[in-house]
Amino acid sequence: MQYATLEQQSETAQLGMWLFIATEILFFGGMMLGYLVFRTHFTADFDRAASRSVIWIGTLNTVVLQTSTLTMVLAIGAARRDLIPLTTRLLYITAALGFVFLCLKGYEYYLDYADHTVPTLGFHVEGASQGPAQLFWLFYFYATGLHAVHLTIGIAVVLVMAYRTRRGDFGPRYYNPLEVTGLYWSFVDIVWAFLFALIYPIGRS
Amino acid sequence: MKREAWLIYVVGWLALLVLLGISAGSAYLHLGGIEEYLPVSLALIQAVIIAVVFMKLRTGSSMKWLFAAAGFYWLLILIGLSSTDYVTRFGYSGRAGFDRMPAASDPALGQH
Repeated sequence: MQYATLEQQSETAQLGMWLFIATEILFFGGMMLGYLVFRTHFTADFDRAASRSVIWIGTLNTVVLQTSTLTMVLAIGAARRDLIPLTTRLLYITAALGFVFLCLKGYEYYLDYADHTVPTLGFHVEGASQGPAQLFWLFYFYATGLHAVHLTIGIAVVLVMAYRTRRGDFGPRYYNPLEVTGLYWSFVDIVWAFLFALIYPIGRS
Repeated sequence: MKREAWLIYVVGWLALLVLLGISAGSAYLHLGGIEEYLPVSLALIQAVIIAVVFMKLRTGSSMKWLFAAAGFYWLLILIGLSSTDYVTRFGYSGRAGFDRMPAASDPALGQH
């Protein structure tokens, strides 16, 4: 037997996910460091460029993602209480909210394109040096694109979890994969909280 | 699920939404300069709420805390040490950034 108890197995799996998250913190942290350096240098141009972001979609998407974090953690609680149909339903809702986020993001990219804020594709931001303004928008597309990739992986994993829950793999005694999935999902939410702060409320006052 | 457990998650979620509302609202206000730092500060509080409530750092072993803290600590090293380079890269004028690159006629370059 590999583990002495189920608790030990659960603890080990969660520590593994925390370790993975630590590497992810550095992955996104490096990108945010780049933002910090260039924003310190080109503050006025960054502010001008950021004021063109679509804040209502950014805010709405944050509500959607934070709500999905709630439904994810409630799904884990439902599994612990042996409420299997409820667990499955909450997991489907979580994945659906993730999908809504991606759809809104796609629509936002379209609005950005129409507003000439996609670097190299007819880019123009009034009243700013075009080079630094493009740096901001490069960060925007790079960071939100990588976040969307993480979210897409999360949606796929949550759907697999929903399938396995329905199949009867999980119950009050064993729901460890749900806990680990929940950790990943919450981390993707944390990354978004920082991206929101760095992109949307800037340069409008 | 126990009722208290539901409650703490719903309260945590509401707190996240309130902080988001303040962050988005601050974009349109003049707050004497603090609006510059407010969104990131609020994001930091949101991150702590998500980690402690939704990622359950409040329960379980202290090893979890150690792993989570290590990630944050490495981030501080990454940003802290890198910033010392960018702040001091050109001269010691006390001003930050590499836009302070000395002009060709700058005595600091040895041209008089």
